[in-house]
Amino acid sequence: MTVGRGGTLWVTAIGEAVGRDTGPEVIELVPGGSEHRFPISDRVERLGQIVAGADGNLWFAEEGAEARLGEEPPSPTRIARLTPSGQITSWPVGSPEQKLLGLAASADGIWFTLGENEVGRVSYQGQIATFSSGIPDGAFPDGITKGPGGAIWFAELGADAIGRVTATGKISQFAWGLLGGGGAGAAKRLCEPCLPGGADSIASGSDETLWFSRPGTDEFGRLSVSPHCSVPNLVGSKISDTESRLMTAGCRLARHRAGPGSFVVASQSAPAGSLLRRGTAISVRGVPPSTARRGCAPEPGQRVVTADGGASLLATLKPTVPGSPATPFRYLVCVDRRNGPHRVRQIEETLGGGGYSGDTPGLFTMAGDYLAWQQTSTSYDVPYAGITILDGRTGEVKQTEDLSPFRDFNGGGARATAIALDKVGDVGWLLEQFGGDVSPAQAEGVQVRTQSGVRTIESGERGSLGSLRIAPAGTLDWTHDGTQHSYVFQR
Amino acid sequence: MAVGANGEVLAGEGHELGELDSLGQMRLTPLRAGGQILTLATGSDGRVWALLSDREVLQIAGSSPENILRLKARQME
Repeated sequence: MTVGRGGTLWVTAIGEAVGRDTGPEVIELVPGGSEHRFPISDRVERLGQIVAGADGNLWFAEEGAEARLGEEPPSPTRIARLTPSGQITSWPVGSPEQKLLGLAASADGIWFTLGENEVGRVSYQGQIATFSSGIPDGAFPDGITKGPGGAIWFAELGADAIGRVTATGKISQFAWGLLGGGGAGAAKRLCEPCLPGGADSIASGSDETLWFSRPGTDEFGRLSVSPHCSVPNLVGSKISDTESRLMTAGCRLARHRAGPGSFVVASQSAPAGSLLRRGTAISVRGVPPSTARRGCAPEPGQRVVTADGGASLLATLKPTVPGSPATPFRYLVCVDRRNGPHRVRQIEETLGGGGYSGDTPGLFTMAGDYLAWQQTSTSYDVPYAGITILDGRTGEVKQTEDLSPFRDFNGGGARATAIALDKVGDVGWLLEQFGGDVSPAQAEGVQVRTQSGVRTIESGERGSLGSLRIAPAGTLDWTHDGTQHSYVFQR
Repeated sequence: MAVGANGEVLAGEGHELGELDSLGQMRLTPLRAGGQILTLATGSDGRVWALLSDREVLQIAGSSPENILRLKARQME
């Protein structure tokens, strides 16, 4: 199964599996309920994986295909292309005994894993190239994916390793065992002791990581493939319970397993091969070191949204889907000031559910101990947008009413396009209004929220306002048709 | 196996959906219906989909049961 353009799902199936007396087919499942079926030639026994190509076509593997007259090689394994208009073209791949397992789309074609020790690529024009130099015999490449930076990575079921192949076919091996003896493509030793067993599936994650599963071990592994690192870093999911081990590669990740407060950290500063004990000072990319020491390092799935001085906002952002069940949204605000107490605020909200959908909050802005952001949502097709201000000292949260001063329930609404915040919690924003009965002169505005409430202090036509910021002197500055304007907050 | 928009690592195992937590443990959530997970796929928008053996397609926003959207209309005859 894969997801194509427009969010449609594409599935390969054989008739028997879907309760029909038909041959193999590709099925397109369109959001909203309809589906389209594309029967495949009955000269094919089975279909394999399917991926959406960058060329707008769907590509999938065929197995047990009859040989075509005069075609070389006469292989029963083929890779096929399905165009949006339903035209299907296929090409033979490999030798009769080789199976085509994984597929991954890239900018230059579809990459695949093949047989005992090959990977290959079919260009979007149908030209096929295979590569094996550097892959050990018996490695059995399996899952394959496009990783950060566009490189192609593949899991090796029989070689305790992850492989990488460049666009020119240069292959590197990254093993948690020992493989090869040097030279191009030789495996690099990344851990000791090493966890036995190969890997079958691999997926590209966020933040320059690759995740892979290891059959028979109940383990998942992670590779950090930051461009800052000369070699990727590997961490198995089972590390010593008492202390973490930094891997011997140049760019390191460590898993801290010292107790219930365990967390995963990324370290750029510790020496290779050293052990990281609880309380060790480390530096974490994107987070001030002092914050990291206090336990405010981002967890997997979290990212640093904004930071100001010693304070950081770490958030798990989970956008909701209209009509989907409620989705928890978690903020973790770490406020760690040199001259004040260490404060960590954790806030959880639940968005969505029923006729209500909450979009991902945005426009996060942090100043001093305050954090402001825009919250947008839709309730039974009526849009809402408001500004939320969090006082990091007390945890108090204040939220404005709907920003739109011209709510008419005819589809009209408003949203902020920029937010500025000062260190005493005053906030200003650029307002954009849309739909309904909004006149051109009402299309944009500057609003502020102070202790006395929300005020509109400027209005203009669409595109005439911009460059919003709060100056150190405590004024809200913006431009109107290129002319600078200021608003002095009342204190 | 699939990685969602927010970096969540999801895996399907028979009748259970697993999500790797920050401690490296896989939290398993039983599916309410009878189908087994055949495959997972991630869209360009980060949404994760699961194809089940009973011809259903699930849209997944995390492994908690309330975050699994069951698309019953997706039955393949």
